[in-house]
Amino acid sequence: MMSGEFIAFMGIALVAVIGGVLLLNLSNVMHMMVALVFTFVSIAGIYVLLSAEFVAAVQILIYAGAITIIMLFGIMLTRHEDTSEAPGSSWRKFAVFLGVLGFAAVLYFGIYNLDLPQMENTLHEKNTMQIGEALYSKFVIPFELTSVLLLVALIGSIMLAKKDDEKEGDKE
Amino acid sequence: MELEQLLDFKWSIMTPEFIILGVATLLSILDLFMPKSMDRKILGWIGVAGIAAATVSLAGFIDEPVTSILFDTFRLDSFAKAFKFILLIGSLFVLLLAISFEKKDGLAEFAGEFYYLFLTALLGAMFMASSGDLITLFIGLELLTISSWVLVGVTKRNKKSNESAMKYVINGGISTAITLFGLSYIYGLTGTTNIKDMSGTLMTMGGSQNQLYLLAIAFFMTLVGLSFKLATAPFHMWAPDVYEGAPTPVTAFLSIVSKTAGFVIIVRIFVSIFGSVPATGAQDALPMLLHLQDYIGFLAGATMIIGNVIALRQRNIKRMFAYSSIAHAGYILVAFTSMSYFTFDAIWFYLLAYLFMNVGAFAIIQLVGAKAGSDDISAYAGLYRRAPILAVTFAVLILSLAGIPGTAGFIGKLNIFMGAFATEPAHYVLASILIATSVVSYFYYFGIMTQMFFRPAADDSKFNIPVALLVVLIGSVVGTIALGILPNIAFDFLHDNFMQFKDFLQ
Amino acid sequence: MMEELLHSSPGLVNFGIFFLLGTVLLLVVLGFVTYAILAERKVLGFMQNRMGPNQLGGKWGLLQTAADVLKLLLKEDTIPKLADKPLFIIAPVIAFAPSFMVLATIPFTDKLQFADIGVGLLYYIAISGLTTIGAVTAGWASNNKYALLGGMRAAAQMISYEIPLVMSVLGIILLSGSLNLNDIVAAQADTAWFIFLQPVAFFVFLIAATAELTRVPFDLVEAESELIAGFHVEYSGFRWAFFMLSEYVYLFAMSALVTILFFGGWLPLPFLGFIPGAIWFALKFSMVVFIFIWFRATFPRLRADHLMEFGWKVLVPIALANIFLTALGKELFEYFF
Repeated sequence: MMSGEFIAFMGIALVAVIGGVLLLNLSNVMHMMVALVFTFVSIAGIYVLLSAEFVAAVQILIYAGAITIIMLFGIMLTRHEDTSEAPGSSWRKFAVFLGVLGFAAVLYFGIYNLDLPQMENTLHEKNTMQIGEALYSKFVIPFELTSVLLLVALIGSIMLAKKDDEKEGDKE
Repeated sequence: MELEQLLDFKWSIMTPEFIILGVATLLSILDLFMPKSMDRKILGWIGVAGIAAATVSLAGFIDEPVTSILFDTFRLDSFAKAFKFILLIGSLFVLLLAISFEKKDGLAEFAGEFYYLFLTALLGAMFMASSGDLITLFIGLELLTISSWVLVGVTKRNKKSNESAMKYVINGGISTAITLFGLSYIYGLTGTTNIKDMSGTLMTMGGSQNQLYLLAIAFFMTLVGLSFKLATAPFHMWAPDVYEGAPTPVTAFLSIVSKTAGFVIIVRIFVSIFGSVPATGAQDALPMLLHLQDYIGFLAGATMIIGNVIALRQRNIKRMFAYSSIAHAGYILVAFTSMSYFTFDAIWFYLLAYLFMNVGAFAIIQLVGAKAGSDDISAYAGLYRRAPILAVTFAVLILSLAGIPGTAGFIGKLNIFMGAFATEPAHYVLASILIATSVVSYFYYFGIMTQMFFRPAADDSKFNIPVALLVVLIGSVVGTIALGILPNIAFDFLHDNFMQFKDFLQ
Repeated sequence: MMEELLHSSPGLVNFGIFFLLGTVLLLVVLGFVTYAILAERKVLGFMQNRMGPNQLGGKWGLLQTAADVLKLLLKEDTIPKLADKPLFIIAPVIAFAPSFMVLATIPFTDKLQFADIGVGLLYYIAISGLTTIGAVTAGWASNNKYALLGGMRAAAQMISYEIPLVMSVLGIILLSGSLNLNDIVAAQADTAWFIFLQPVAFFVFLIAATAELTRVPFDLVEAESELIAGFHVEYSGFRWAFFMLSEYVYLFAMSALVTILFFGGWLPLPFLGFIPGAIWFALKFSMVVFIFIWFRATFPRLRADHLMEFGWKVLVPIALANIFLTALGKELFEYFF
């Protein structure tokens, strides 16, 4: 049972979980972001263990590389009162904790001795090519729809973030 | 897969979607090159024309047999057609509302975007209606959601709008995460995203206790996550704030198109996937959907009670309609819970009726709200003296919402009510909650009527109704009364063309 | 040898071998950094008509960098009182670790490579992006406005230039049909070096790479005359050395990458195949490093807004056009031949 893969998985999963817990528990947003980076990178590690190397690289490129930096950028541009307020009463905290624990127990009960039939797969061979072929043939409709989605997100964020220039009058 | 193979598919069945996409693109380009000072209303009319064209082209496919493209990532079955009609007609009315909406609070600057974001949201909803693959369904859902986030926050200089957009985004994000979590379990258990394959795999799998347990978890997570779109319990709390803060056409959009899309995706996923899984290991056991329907029933009951009871205390008409819309979603959930022979018909009819009565009501809310400058219920005092026809129109719509005989709302409720008894065992408790909460709802609906007919008016100024609003009002009243007196128009249409949705699972 | 090792079963011995090899690579890279710094100073001196280091270690100043490193290590390690201490400490590590991680995937010859990753090129680009987080964190944790400005500039510049960087190599990926660096070199053996097939991509890539390395003329991140030293202004001693080290390791890695992508890696020139691949690689690699140093001596620094405009309005469209033309060319070629 103690294969190298298992050890690697335990290590990566531990880092991912610790990153997630720290993200919730730290009060300084910058510290949270760094914790988040660790989680993102370890999730990429899990993808590698699952022979999804393309997804792993994209996970790092997009999440750890781009999204985190954009968020850091946003944090730096805002004012420096960067600590979150202390959450509500301890009773409430306890209730939330119980809820989380209960949910974890419910899920653990479901998966701790689940045996899924192993299917023959060839995911590790030319992983990127397989993804590309699926995207551009079988899933071309959702793929193209995603481009509309991204365009909407882009237009929307520009609309909402654009500076109000009504008071400056019409220069153009 | 070679290009020829791709081109072999019958892409023409996507014409309505292509029209909407094309018009949205056209609007964005026109908006870019139009001089800044020019009125953007013309873009709205182009959008209306586009939706009308899409409706016509959809009507052209009405006799088309079930067609699917690319392994069901897009499929046109009668279910898709029937609900796409509701989505298109609803969006048509909503866009007309948007055209006559007064552009203030920073909206004027983005009037062009305002119109084409409605179209992209509609596009997302349409894809949700006609796909048999979870990936397309999810992307459609997200397209609809993200477009609506932007639409809710579009009036930037309005604090309430900002607040509501923020709440909407956070709630939406959480609900999406929960939905995806649930769906990922189903995917993990079946190894495919194609809904038909999923149900096939699950049916033959037999299922160990563990797998069924996980499926049940997936069932609840997905249901809870998707309840955000419906604004039903437990994800209903965003509705009042968002309905109040968002511009009125957007509120109408959320309560009509977005809600319809939510029911569409719920029916699609739950009936196809969980309707075919045996709830226990035995082959002849009840499907999981029926096995767990008590829980859906519980949510439906809670939703009806919460919606109708809290609505009693509202003074702001948009908040009141938010709770009323929660309650109506609860009624439709009753139909979904009972899963009788005519559940689909009941849901379809109720959504259609709800479309007509609600869009008309929001048209009047928009008109009166713009005039009075507030959405307080007192703005409706003496409406009958000031504008008798308007008041009577509103009264008809409200009566329909309340479910008084002679209106579409009554027939809709009757269908659901009968459906609840048609199954074995019958859902007496749910049916009685439906009746009781309907009676409760009379209080607040009639509260508005009292204001309109029996209170003195604060000022006597008249309303001048823009053309677009007039079209909406006439359409909604005619629709409400016609469906109320002659419901068979709709049912015959349904039965003649859609064959009881028999091709839903094929 | 590496191939067999990579496919061997996990065990303590193999772990030991890999650890040893990793350490050797680290030492090689450190040696490179030592002499790259010296080379840079010498070349700069030559171009600016002066001597450069010429005292320590003979006429060529061969021990100059070693002495500098010794000085750095002996320096007092200061942490500003109002700095965000944990972040301040972890930032150099975040910046340095990825720079060494990217080396794993680079094939120096057809036999010498640590990890033959299928998505090698993407891996390089993804991992190198992590360094930016280190720079931004350092800038923020220092609690100094110059450092903060430097960090912000680093973030903006990295994100803006990563896009043309990735898009310019898409042409190469189209032609070679793989993201694997070995396959890319192999594709060049079949056709020609990609600098001839993809000249536009080469120029875009070189410019974007210079920006990613934050070297002159794109060194706004640490512009001495504006920001004193940018995000690492508050750092001293070996923490500062970590930033410098990662910068030069990236110079090493990026030059190796350019060699592999555009100059055919270890492939020899025609008729000169008797010279070993490692030598060819070293030669081409040195040339690329020289080009980077040459840039430093000749270009003036860009203004921040020009930098952004250049990236988004010039490089990105050119890279896009390049992808389009490459795809078109490839299809036409296959159609006619």
